[in-house]
Amino acid sequence: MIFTALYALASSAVIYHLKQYTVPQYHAPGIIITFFILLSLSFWLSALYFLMQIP
Amino acid sequence: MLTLSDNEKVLIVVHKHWFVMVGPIITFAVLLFAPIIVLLVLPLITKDFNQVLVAIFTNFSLSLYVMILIIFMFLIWMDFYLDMWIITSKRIIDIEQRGLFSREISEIPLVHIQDITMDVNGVIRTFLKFGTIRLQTAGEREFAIRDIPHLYKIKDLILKYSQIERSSK
Repeated sequence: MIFTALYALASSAVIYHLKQYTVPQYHAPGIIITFFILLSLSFWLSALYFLMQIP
Repeated sequence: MLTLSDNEKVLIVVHKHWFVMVGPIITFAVLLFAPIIVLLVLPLITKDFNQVLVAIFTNFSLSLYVMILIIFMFLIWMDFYLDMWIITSKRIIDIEQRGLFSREISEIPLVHIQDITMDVNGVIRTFLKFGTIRLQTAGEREFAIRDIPHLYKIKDLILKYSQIERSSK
């Protein structure tokens, strides 16, 4: 839970900075943010799945 | 983020050259594949343990490890991407991101620019055509942006618009 909270905090901070300080016409950061969120979510769900398997 | 005055337009936004990210990407790739060594050695160390539990715990740890790598890589990329110069027809906005929650922004009116120096050092920078531009202003302050591409184009743009600004004053 602590790991998830810290990870979410760090991710939010990075995404905030990118959204706030990217010049509007540039779309690459948006694509990378989406990719990052999808990857993070996949590995987080995978970690959660294996955590639930531990008796 | 950016408020432009009347008759001001953004000419170019300068980011660092992609080669700056090669080192971190190689480090990321090495660290990503390093657990393979652990996975090869693990069966020898844990042969007396419950193999199902070992497998579950290994997969769980690997997932967390990859997540940590991803967030660090994302942070490094953010720092790389948010270092930029925004060159408008009236000023240069020098933005330097220093990790999270630390950012330095300087504005240099084009009319105050006295001197431009371009610096290309090394084999890789010479072949990939990227380097450093330094500006000296009337207040004797120096501004620099390192490892950027299209040096000549940027230099010509700054010189052209700084002359236009001076002649319009």
